[in-house]
Amino acid sequence: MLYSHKHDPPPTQEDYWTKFYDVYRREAEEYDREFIKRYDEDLNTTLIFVRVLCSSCLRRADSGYRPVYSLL
Amino acid sequence: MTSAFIIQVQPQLQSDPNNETAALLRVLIYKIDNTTFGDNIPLIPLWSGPPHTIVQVQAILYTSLAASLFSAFLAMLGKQWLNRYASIDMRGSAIERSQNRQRKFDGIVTWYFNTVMESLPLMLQFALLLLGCALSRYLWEINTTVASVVLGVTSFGVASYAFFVVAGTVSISCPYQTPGAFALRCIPPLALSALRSASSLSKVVGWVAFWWNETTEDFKCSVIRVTQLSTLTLSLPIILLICLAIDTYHLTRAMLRVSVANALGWFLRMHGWDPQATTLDLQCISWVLQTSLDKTVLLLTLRLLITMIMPASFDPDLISACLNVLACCVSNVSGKVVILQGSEELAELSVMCCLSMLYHTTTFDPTSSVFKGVRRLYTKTFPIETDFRNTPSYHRFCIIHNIFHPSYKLVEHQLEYHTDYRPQIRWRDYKLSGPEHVVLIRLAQFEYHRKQHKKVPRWILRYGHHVLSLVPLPPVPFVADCLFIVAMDLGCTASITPSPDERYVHI
Repeated sequence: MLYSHKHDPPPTQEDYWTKFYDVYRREAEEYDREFIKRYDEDLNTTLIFVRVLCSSCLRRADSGYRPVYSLL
Repeated sequence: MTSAFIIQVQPQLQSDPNNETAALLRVLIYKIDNTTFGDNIPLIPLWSGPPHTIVQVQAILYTSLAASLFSAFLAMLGKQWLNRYASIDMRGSAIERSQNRQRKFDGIVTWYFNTVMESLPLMLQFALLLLGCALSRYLWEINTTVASVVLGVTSFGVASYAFFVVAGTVSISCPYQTPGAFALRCIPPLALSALRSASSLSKVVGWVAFWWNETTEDFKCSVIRVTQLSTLTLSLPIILLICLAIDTYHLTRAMLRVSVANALGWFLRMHGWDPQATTLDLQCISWVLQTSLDKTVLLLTLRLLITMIMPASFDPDLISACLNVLACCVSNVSGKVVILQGSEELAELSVMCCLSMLYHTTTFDPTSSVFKGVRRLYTKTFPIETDFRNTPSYHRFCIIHNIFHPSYKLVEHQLEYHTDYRPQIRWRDYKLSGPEHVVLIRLAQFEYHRKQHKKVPRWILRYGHHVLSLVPLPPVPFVADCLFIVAMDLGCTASITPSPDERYVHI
């Protein structure tokens, strides 16, 4: 083990770059997971809100249920 | 909810057939028996269009519906965009994929993806507000008591939102943060810079007077407006329009910037200069420096950064990222800099990187706007009265400090460094380790000016000769700077700021 280590050529610039991009990919994956999760949740909230805004209309048409505001 | 309400109000836009039937019946009864209505002679009513109020309410309601549907549409698109960002839409080596990811991430920053995403809920909130306004306006005609309840609830909602915005603006640590608060926090610096850039005092005074007149006029008008509910509710769609306009402005600006950058890149590529690969590498490095907190990762990244040949202009974020790393491994105890235990190597490397990039920037563009932003960051960590004694990279710190604080007395520190340092150097045994050339060229310039343009100190010149005689030749920046030292010694003062062609491309 030690022997082979001694006779390894010193790491070149390319080796450093490969190592760097390995590290980069690891960091990026973690960061992107967080990033996408955050915005995905935000968008889900938006969609749920829109559905709530529009849903009462649909229910009224289907089952004769009258939402609060249509009593006015 | 919105749609249900619209359906409820919708029929009132058309004439009611029941009303007409009733009127006709009344006329019929009158014809049969004249005594039923007494002296009132029933007439057939003429439909003269829908009432004014109903038209207003309908207009606001439809705006609200359109806004909520539009934000749903954008949300759907946003999900698609996010998926596209997450997908690996490229085959190739790990390096190519990572660079592709960085390209996409840069796009997200350049195109204000975050702003657009944040403004989606804002549109929905406006839709809700419009609904409340329309409801209260509609009920006002029917029953004032019920209408006032709805109006009260709506204004309570608006007031609490305003409170959240103000609270979020005043305190950053406040948990009730809204996009509005973020925007408001950006206004004072903008206003200050606008005031500063105003050329003369009279202009400022005139502007203030004009603004004052405008606001007093506006105030009078708005008092009258508040009494007229209908006008107030009609002005609300304008706010929505402003929100949209701000988004459009951001997008247009980003579009212009990107297209100019693309055109420039195309032009440069046409002339055989491809900055793409180096710039992407730099962007990746900059991103890692800004994101990572892992010491080994930072060390590896900084080591790579030192060996890179920098393009003539690069993202100033890179310098601030390096300064941030430096600030993390240093503590400033009552004006005395102490390097934290275990971070010595990181501190040394980040100082080297900062120095080499700052030097690079001062050489290429001494009046660069980069310094303005970075200086604030630097001064926060290292105020002008800072003592760098007892730090291993003492001389590098001094030079950086002098770049940011030109009034800092470089002379004493430099001379001290120079007399301390000189006897220890034997250039023959010297191994190239870091960007010593950056320190030495600065020192050579300084000494050259100090000796009234006579000679560069011999020991620095010897360093230059030593580097130039190495086999194989060291990296290009080393050679360039050593040639520069030699040129200075020969009396070439004219090219103190060489152009990129002279320094890096042609050598």
